[in-house]
Amino acid sequence: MKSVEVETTPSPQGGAVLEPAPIVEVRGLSKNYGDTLAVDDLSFQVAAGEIFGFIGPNGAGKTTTLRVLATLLEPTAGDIYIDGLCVVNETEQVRRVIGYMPDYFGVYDGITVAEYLDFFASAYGLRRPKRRSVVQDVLDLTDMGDLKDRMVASLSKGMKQRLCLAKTLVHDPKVLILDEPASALDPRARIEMRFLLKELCQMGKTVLISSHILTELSDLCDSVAIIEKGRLVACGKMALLHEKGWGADRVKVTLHEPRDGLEAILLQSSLVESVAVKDCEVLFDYTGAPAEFYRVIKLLADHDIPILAVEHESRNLEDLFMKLTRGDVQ
Amino acid sequence: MSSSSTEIDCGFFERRFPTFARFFGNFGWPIFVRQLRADFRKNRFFLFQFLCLCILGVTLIAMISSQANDDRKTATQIGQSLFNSFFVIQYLVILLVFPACSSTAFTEERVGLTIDLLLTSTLRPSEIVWGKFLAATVYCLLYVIASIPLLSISFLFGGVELSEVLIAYAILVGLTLVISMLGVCMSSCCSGSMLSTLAMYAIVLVITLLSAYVYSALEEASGSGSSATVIGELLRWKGPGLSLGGGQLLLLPALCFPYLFLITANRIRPPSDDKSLPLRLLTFFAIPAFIAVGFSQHFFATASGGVTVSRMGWIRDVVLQVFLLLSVCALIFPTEDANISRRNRSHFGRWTGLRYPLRVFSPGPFWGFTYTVLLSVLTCAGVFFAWEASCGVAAEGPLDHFVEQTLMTLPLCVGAVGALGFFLATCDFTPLYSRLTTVFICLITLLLPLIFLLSSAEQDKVWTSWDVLWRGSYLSPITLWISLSESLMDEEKKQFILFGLPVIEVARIVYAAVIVALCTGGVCLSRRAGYPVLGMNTSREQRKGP
Repeated sequence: MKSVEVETTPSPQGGAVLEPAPIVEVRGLSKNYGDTLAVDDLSFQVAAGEIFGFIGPNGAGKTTTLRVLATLLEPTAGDIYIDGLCVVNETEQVRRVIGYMPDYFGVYDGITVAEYLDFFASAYGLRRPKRRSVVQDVLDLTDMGDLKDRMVASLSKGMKQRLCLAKTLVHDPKVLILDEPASALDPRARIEMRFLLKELCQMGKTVLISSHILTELSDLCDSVAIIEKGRLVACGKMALLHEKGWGADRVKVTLHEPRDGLEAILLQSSLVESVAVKDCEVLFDYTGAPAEFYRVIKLLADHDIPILAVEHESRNLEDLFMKLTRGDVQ
Repeated sequence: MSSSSTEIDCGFFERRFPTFARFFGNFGWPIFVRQLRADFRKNRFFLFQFLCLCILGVTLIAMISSQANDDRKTATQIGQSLFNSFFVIQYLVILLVFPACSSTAFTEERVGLTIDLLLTSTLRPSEIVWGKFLAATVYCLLYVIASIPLLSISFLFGGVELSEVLIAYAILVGLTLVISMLGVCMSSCCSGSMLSTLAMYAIVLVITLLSAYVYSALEEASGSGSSATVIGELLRWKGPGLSLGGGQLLLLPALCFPYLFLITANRIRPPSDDKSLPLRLLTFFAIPAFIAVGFSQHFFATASGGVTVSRMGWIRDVVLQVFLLLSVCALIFPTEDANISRRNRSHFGRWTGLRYPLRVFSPGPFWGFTYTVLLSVLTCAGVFFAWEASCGVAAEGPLDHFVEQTLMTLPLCVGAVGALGFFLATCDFTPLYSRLTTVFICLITLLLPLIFLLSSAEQDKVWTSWDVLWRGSYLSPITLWISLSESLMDEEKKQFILFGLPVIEVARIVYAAVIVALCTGGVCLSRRAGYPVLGMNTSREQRKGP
């Protein structure tokens, strides 16, 4: 399957908007586990300050990619740079600029929430006076100030998830690598997590997030990368996905009476694909911009097609995901 | 919070001792504190200490009351007996009870899914291991220190010198440290807590049995010796077999500790990190130090007139020690993964000019082989010169011949093993398979004389030199060892002559040929596969950053 990549955002005036410098750059990343190729020649960039969604079916290589970015795995081939630092050669420096939250994690029993954060703050080399204020800041940011004296083991799953996110923030990293941060959370906790991530993004942090909850990612992410079988299927800005025809809108036109040759008429337009006619109903994919939809209507009107109703159904990330992936695993 | 990364400010150690801080970091202090916070909230820790001390105290009081009624024993004997009992109980408690605390250090992190959080922090692997080690050892150390008042009871009776008490405590503390580090090491090697605890206790069982053997030998010796405590006898003890002296016995755990530490740190290090340099550096000094301690102990004993082992027996044991230690090196270093990470290539690739010879400490099978050969040559040369210096003018002919011949052959024999490992590693064998294959081939070679001895089909055949050459049984160190024996009759000596040359000289030629052949093959394969040989192939692997 050919991968689709979107490079720049066109400005309303027609020129290209200058993209911010990429803070994460992955070039030709491959990772083998013995004979199994988990990630195959993956390349993408993440601009500073954006929320980047990493999507793919189970076993696609998302976690492997994120673990390589988090310096936990060495790539078999390829170059990865985070904030200009090589992930392979400058591991220690890279760890200072990233905060990693794994998909499955545990917490230490027998200590309180504040002690847990204090431990990670000291593990990142923060000295005692600064540690106290940082822990308090992080607790306030993640809305866990009231829980600071609670034992970690007694927290709910959602609170532990929130605590782990707080832990990734103690050293104030530039890049957050979050592997399924909202998994196993109830709807309220998910919404709260979403708001928190948006807040972090507003603070200038770059967020790489992998998730299966695509509807949430489509609201949250500025850019996405879709991978399947370790290969990049699609990558780019969310705003451009639809315009590039990744997620063509489905249009249903209801006619007053059936007409012949309708398919040929519609396919005269370059903006129309996959036409299906059934009695008085015509279904087709519209790949153009919303502002240009009138051209299709005009085309039908020019051929005296009696239109009764037009239903426009926008495709979301889920449709895009289903369209581009086949559910194959390594 | 600011949007930029937090600047890490320097602490006291970084400010005052920057070099110290760079090498040792914070000694895993955060991990240590976190563990103590969690454990001190539980009653288990205090109960554990209390119970162990109670058992020790009750045992000592029971012994005092039973021995005080024995009219045949003097106060001095009671004191010495109490001291011995105290030492043995403490030794056993440390050996049998406390490994349970350390053997789950890393497995509980793995099972609890917290290890990734730890590894992505800026704590270095060595700091993580230090933290885990300190947290595991603190309970045992507290117990050892808390038992000091109980030991003081034996002072009331006399017969125990302060130096013996200090040495006893040094041994107990040393044992605590080594056992804790062993437990941490086992926990880093095993996937589950149950497995690591079982593996740990299997090793502890072996150590206990060896300790029991040494103790029984010491008790036997104390019957005739001047000192009646086990410590006094241990320092004078001359063990059988490899002739490990008391000094070497004490040095062995001290050397084991850094090895265990480095192995544990390597287990949790990312694959791209250098895992070889510290181990090679340590080995470079550890083997000569171990042999030197044996030498010095023998000379001091000779000077004080207390030597019981013959000169021949002693030097044979030294040669055997050197052979065993170098063989382990030949098994480990040349069989490393040939596919060196880009990080290591760029790091060691910078060692040029005057620093180029230091590449023998860099990872990879080629430099591993070179390192092994260099270490073998230096160690054998050191032993030879030390022997020559010790002999002085009164050198013994046959013994000198034995020492010269073995020390000339040893580097070639070890080099052949290393060359085999190098060749296998370049054939893309994993380190484990390379090592297993090398061990298998070495065992076969070692046992060749026995194999041919057992094959009765060709008993009556008249063997020509060419036949013997192809049989290769003279390559076995056992054959070579026997060929140098003084007690051989003239008729027997003829069996060890090939083409008019002693078999040891033929073996040297064959070892050299094996080294040349395997190394040539290994180098050719390395070049074809792009593995580093003399250079680090950095131009091929390095790519520019953005």
